[in-house]
Amino acid sequence: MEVEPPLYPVAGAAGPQGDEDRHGVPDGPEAPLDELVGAYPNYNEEEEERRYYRRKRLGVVKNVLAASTGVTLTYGVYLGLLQMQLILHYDETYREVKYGNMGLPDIDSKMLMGINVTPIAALLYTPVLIRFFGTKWMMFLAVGIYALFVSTNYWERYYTLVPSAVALGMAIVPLWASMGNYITRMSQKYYEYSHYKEQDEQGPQQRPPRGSHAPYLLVFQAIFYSFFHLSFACAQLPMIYFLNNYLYDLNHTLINVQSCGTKSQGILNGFNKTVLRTLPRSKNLIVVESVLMAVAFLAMLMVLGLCGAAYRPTEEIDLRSVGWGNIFQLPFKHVRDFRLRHLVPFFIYSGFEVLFACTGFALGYGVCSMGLERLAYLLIAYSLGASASSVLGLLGLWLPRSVPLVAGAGLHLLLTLSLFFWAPAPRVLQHSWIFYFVAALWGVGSALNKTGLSTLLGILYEDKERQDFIFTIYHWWQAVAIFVVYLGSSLPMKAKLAVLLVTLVAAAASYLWMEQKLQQGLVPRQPRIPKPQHKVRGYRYLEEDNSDESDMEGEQGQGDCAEDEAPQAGPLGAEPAGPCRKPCPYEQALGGDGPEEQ
Amino acid sequence: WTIPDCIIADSLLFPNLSYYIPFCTSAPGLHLLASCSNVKNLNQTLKRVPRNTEVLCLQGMVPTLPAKAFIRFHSLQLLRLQLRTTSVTSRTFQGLDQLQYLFFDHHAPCCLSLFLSPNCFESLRSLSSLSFQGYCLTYSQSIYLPTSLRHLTLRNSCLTKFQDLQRLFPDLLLSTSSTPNIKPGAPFLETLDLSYNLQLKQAGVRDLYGLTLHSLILDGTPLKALDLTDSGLLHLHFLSLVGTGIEKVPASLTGYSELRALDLGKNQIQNILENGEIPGYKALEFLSLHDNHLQTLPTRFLHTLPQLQKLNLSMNKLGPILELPEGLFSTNLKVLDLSYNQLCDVPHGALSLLSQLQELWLSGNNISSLSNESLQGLRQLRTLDLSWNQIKVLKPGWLSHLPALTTLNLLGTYLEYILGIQLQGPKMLRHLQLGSYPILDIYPPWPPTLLSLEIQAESCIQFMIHSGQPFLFLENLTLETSILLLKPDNITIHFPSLRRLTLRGYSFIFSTSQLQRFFPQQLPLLEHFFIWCENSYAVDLYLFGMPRLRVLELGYLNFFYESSTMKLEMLLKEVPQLQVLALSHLNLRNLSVSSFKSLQDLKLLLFNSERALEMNSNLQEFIPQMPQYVYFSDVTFTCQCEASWLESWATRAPNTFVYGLEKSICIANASDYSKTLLFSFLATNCPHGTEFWGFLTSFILLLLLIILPLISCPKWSWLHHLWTLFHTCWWKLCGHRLRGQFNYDVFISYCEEDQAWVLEELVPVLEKAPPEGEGLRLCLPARDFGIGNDRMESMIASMGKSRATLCVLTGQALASPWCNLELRLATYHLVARPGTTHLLLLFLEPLDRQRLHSYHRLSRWLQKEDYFDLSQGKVEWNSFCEQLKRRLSKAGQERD
Repeated sequence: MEVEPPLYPVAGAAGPQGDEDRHGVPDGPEAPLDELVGAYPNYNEEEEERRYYRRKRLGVVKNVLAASTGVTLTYGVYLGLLQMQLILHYDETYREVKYGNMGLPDIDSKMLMGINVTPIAALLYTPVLIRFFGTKWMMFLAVGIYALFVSTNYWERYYTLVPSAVALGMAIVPLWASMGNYITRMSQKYYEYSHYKEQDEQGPQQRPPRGSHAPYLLVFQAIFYSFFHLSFACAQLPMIYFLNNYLYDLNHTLINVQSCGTKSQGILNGFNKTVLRTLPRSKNLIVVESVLMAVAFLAMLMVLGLCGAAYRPTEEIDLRSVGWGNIFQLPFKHVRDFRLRHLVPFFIYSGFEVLFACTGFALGYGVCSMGLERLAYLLIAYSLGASASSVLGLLGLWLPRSVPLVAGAGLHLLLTLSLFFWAPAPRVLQHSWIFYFVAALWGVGSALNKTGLSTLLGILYEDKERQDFIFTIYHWWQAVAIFVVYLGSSLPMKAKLAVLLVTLVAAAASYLWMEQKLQQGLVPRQPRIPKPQHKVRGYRYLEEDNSDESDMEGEQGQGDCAEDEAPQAGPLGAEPAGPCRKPCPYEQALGGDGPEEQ
Repeated sequence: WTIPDCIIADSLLFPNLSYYIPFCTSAPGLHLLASCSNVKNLNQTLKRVPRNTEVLCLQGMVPTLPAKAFIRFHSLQLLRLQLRTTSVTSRTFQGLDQLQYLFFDHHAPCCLSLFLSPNCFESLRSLSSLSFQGYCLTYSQSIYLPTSLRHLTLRNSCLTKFQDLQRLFPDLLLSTSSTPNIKPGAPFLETLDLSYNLQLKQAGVRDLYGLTLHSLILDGTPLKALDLTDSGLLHLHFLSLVGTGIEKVPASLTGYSELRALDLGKNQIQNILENGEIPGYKALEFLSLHDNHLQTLPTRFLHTLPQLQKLNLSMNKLGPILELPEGLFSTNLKVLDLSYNQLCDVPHGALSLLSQLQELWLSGNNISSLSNESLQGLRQLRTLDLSWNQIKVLKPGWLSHLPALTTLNLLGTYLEYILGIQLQGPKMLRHLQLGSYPILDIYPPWPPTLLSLEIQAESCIQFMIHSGQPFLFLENLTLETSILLLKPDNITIHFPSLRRLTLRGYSFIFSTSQLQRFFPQQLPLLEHFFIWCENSYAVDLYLFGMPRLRVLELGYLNFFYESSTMKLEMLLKEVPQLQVLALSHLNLRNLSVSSFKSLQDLKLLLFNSERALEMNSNLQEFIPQMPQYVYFSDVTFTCQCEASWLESWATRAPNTFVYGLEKSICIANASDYSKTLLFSFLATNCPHGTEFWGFLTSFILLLLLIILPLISCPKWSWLHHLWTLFHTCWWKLCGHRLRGQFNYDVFISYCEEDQAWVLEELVPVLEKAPPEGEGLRLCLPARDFGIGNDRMESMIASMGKSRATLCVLTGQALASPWCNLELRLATYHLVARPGTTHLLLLFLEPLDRQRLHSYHRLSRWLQKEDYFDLSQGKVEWNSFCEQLKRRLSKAGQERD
């Protein structure tokens, strides 16, 4: 076999040619510059390119994994801490002995209000924040705010808990919106890197064909949601390894509980005021909080160090340069798009169902019948079910995209209907497997719902210029739903179930209608994304005297794009491509990858 | 929780706690009791008292009771106020619907003036007993009394005449002029207590008209005689004239004939109407003449009392020999009390006429022996009290004439032994109390149906038992001695139905195996166990086989004795139903959670007189399961921070009332007499800011972790500017000498052709030390690049390490590849690191713009920035040097 020559001359193992070359080139100041910096003769450009893009693709996968893990850890820590603290604070003895007349229930309710109400304002600032900081940095910042919330739980006072809860509430929508945006963007990048050849042929200005990134998007969203749903299980670890040792069993906690399930009213009426058999010592609590804090730190570092930027710096500059007023307005302008309008019920339902699983079902059915000590296992069942079945989102690779979504909705429909007629007896453990089974099934539905919606949004809105708006709207509606659940937490279970059911049916119907409209070839109106107005100095100082551009071209481009975008071709709606889109100067200038972070 | 100066108790546990609640009494059927002393601010104190309190006693200094003071306490039934109150508003007692007993007490010398608003009792719909003690109601009038009122007390007040009552409570009495009909809505008073009204001298005619009292108590008043009919009282049953200084039994007064009970104790009656008029006490059933000066029995008087059932003649001087003439007492007499009358002997048959007598009290006399003849004829006698007499010997069969006797008290005798035969006679002897001074030997057989047995002997009690089970029905056993012996050695006694066991002793009666021999097996029904052993030795006490034990009191058991193997947790392991645990003088030293782990039902825990008690910090976890009431009295703690949980527990735990910790002191070691309060020690010496520091540290770390990457991210130029600004300020603050990362001031790029000019003209000007030159450190490629280094690398590195780059441009320079490269690099840096790079251009000869056009960045640079044109002598050399220096120093500063 012939030995393939190494791509680069290896130090110390230089072959005869290399040596010769070395000797042949005159050294010193007299050496011709070309020869010094020139390529090696056996430089295989194609192979280099392939390797380069493979590295890039691996980088993208690494980005997705790191972002998913980081966010999972953060959310798990946050949920676990919140759950633990709420249980601890619920206990009258603990509260009185540790906090006395501080008014902890009041602080807790204010904290919950901060977490649940603040996101309502998120529609106003989320796009601005995301564009200002950039997707990755927004994620990092939001993860940091979650970590700050964890940190304030060391020292629970009004002036620590409430401000941090408000800050957390502000960070919720930006975090998840930027996260969805990030994952979608990564799938697009992955497509770019795996189809670099076609792109080269088409030219850099040309956009990839519609829906081309969809398979990658499906895979990435499945990965992300498998991780994300694990966070509910992670959140139970403090409960399992710490808090469960201190809890009374169900015979004490549920002694006054009369009815469960569909007959119950509010959240756990008659639940005993004391749930702790023994009080945890401050030292142990500090240890637990420190572990959680360390995990939150780790998550921050992961997001900071391992997640690459979602856009090239130049792209980000472009995204920011459309004018802050426009950025502020654009989420509202997207309401013109009938696809989004049709999806709003689904967004709301998506918020409802998670919270119903975690509070309505877990507390009203599970804890009410099986005791607080089994809450952790119930939520773990939900979490594992959801995490495992997030992979089912991959069905979209073979089936029509509506199938997973509708399947999830159908599953939830069946479950909700059966929950209507189920009133488990308090303090009875015989049928506990049913609870775990229902929780896991609900998780399956949740996973289908979440992956389906996120991929759908990614497929419907491919523009990187508007993805953040879309995801902001999605998560804002979810936040609104969560707020509504928070408001209605004292309703009877039947009312909750009815609301859930109505929303679900409305959501599914509305979604199917939208699909039908699209198939009929109805074209949505999308707001125009304005042209970037650069005021930044830097690379762009040459732009002013860009002599290549004729006046006519500029005029024409502007004229074309002045109106709302009209459909160009195809039944699947319009894309802002083609002559309307003015190629960015940096694309001309660089023609390739900028100094991009990995 | 704890309330300063207050004590909360459940009345069920009252017997164990009465010592701590000196001025508060409860009433039967009431449970939760709160007693507060030193009350200054009533509302503040009452805020912390539990809402469902039924008994509330308040002591302190509250001159005016505010309106609605007790509105929270809907279930309050007894209220005792010792608040030196001087005024009560009309709405003070609003909301107390259930209140039954209301007491205003003032114990200082009489009397405190109290103003009552006329309708202040209007809302007390269930009030049945109202009492004023030590208060003058002079300024109040027309007070409305609830209709449910039954008992009214005005003790130690300043009433001068009964008509004051008319003024105070117009509802109560009918005015002298009105008809004798009972007013609608007026209370039906049963008892009126006006005792110790020292100025109540005169009883006017029809003063009490309209009252339908059952009892009238006039103890300690100067009223020696009260004409009941004249005063308007019709159906009085009980009249008490204790301590009024009466010398003769009131005789000629009307209305006494209906009296059923008359108490004339503590008077100076010497003999009753031996010669005078015989009063008509036809209906009298109870007569008390205790503590008078009677020397002989008032024979004639007693003859006239056909209904008499109880007669109390104690503490008179009827001795030394009791003589009861025939027919002296009515045949109904059931109770006769002759105690403390210095009687020496009861003659034979003296009591034989009292065939109905059920109780005979002879304690505190000098009786030395009683024979069966003395007690002849008392066939109904159930109770015989012979305690504290001089009895030295008991004749066999002395009880043979008392077949119905159930209770016999023989405490305080001088007996040395008691034979079972001596107690034979009564068939149903149930309650037996035996006491002797030095030693008591007890021989069988025992009365078979004994229910309670109390034996006291100072030094030794010795039981002689033949057969195993003499106490099958015994429920209550009290033994008080130093040494307890049981003979013969191989026998054990069984107490299968014992419920209450009290053991008091002074040395080691229980330390040896005696106790185990005495109570070897299970005491299945034992509920109350009291053991008090003043003993400096260790005690091996084990509580086993007492599954129903509810109350356990331990005193003076030395737990911390070196050789002692007994631990509290061992002791309490097998008493699962324990509810009350009182520990005093136990020398416990250490208290940990293991002691209480098995006690699920513990309600009351009482520590008394413990020294240097350490509360283990694992008790902290146990807080939710702590007993409902925990009392510390006279307990000193060890000063250590492990107990820092005590304060929050004591003051705030919702399910536990803690008493006595706030005044507890702690000692650091045995020789510490500083009397530090435990709580103040904990507050000053024990840091509790771990959480805060955890928060602060993590918060700052997080902020840094968030902010630093944001700052160092190159995208935000304004952040970057801020950062550089901060950096400069920092360096300026830290001193200007630090050059940082720059090794050179100026990197000079030139081609070989210009080298001569550079070395001769330029370098000296810039490099020489001031004042001749500028003192700048120059980097010349030909001179300063390291030998053997790659020229490219050195070039890049040196340019990076220089504050500014000076390019000497000539036609040759532009042709030279190295200069070309340096120029490109410099212009590239202009773009790549804007703001930090400084490029200076020096034209030595005029150059065509076109030639520079290939450096398009440069051409732009030249449009904006100025450059030095030295060609054709346009510029003076000196001024050029000046300019160059200025620019260089400016560049240097900016880069700093």
